Amino acid sequence: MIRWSNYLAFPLMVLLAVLQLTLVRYLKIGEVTPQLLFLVVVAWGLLREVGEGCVWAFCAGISSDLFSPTPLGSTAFSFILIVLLIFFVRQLFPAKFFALPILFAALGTLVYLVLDYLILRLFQYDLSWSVVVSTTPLILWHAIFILPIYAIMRWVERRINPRAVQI
Amino acid sequence: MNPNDTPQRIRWGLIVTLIIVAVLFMIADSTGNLSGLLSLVRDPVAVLMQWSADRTNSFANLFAGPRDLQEARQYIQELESQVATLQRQNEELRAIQGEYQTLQEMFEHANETPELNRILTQVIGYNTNSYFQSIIIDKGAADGVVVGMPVESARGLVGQVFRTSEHAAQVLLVTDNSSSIPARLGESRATGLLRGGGLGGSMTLNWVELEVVINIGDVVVSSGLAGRFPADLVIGRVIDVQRSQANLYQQALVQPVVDFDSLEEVFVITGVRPIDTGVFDTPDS
Repeated sequence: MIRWSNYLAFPLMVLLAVLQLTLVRYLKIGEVTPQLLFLVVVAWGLLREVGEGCVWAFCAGISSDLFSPTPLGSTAFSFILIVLLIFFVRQLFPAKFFALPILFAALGTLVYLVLDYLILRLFQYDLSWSVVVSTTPLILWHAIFILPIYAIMRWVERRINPRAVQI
Repeated sequence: MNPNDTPQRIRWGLIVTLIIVAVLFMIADSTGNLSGLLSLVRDPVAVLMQWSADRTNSFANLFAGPRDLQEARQYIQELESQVATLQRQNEELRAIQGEYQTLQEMFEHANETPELNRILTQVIGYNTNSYFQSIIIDKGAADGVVVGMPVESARGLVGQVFRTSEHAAQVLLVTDNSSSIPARLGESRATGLLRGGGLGGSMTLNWVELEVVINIGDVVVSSGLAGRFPADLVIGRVIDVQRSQANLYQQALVQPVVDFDSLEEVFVITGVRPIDTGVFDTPDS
C-alpha cells in the first residue's frame, strides 16, 4: 500500500526547503516569495492519489516548519487540508481540464494563507489581518509558478509510474 | 467510496493519522517539548544550508554582474543630482549639532561597552513562511547563542534570537509583526515602543508623548528598558509623524537602517544582562 515514492518524500522536501531558504529567496517579487514546497504539494496532489499527496504534504509541511518560527506541524496540517481540498473539489471538474493546476494553486494559496493565519492566532501568535492581506499577491505568483513546477512534477511522476502501453 | 474496501480504509486511516500527528506536533512544539528532538534534525540540515548558501550567493553575483553595470550608469546620474542636494543638506546638518552629538555619544558608547561580547555569524537562510520576517544564522547553542539574545549588523539592530539548535539559530527581525522593542528618539531622548509592521508595513514608534517634538530623520535607538536589548543600538530613522490633538500620544513611522535583503553577516550580542526585577516582588510572591 505504501508506495516507495513516499519514502523519497522527506529527504526531497528537506532539500527543497533548503533551496527555498537559500535560492528561491532571489525570486522575491514585491514583498512575497513563491513557496516552492507549497507548489510541489499542489502539483503532487493533482498528479497522484490522495493518500500519497497527504504523505508528501505532511513531509513538506514539517520541512517548512523546521526553519520557520511557526509551531512544528502547523504547515503540515494546512498542506494536508489543501490536498484534501484538491481531492474533493477536482471531482467537480473534467479530469483533463487544462487550468486545474492554476485554479488549485490560486485556491490552495488562499486557503493556506487563511488556515495558517487561524492556526497561528490559535497558538497566540501576534499576527494582524493586514499581514495576511499584504501576502495576497502570493495567489497570483503561485498561479503563475505552478506551471513550470507542475510540468517538472509530471515528468517526475511519469518516470516513477510509467503508463502501461498495449502492443 | 466503499467503506468495506480495505485499501481505501488504510488510505483514509493514514490521512487521519497524519493529521493527528501534525496536531500533536503543534501542541508539543508550542509547549517546548520538541526542542531537543528538533535540534537533532536542524543541525545536519544547517550544514547543508551553509553549503547551499555559499553556492547560491556566488550564483546570484554571477547573474547580477551585467545588470549591475547598467544600473551603475543610471546610478551615477542619480548620484550627481543628489550631490547638489546633499551639499545643501550638509549645511542643514551642521545646524543640528545636538543630533550629531547624540550619535557621537552612541558610537563612543559602543566602543566603551566591552561587556557586550559579540559573536560574528553568517546568515545562511531566510524565512520559509510568508507571515514572518526571520533569518537563520550559522551559530547556535554550542557557540553560546541562547534565545532572546539581540542580533545586530554593522548598521544597526537586526532582531532577536527566537529559536536555537546546536549549530544554528532563528532570528526574528525587528520588522516582524510580532516584534516590539522599547526605543527612544536619539535627539529628544523621548521613549516609546517600536512595533514591527510585518510584511509591507512600516515600523511604528508608539506611545510618544504629544509635547515631544519629533523631526523627520530623527534617529531611533533601543532604550534599554526591560533589559532585553542594550541601550543605544541604532534601529532606524523617522520618516513620518502622525499626531492628533485628539490623542494623548503620537506615533512615528520608522524606516530601519538595516537592509534585511542583503544581510550576509551579523553579530549576536552575548553579554546582555537581563535586568533583575526581583527587588520589586512583593513579600507574598
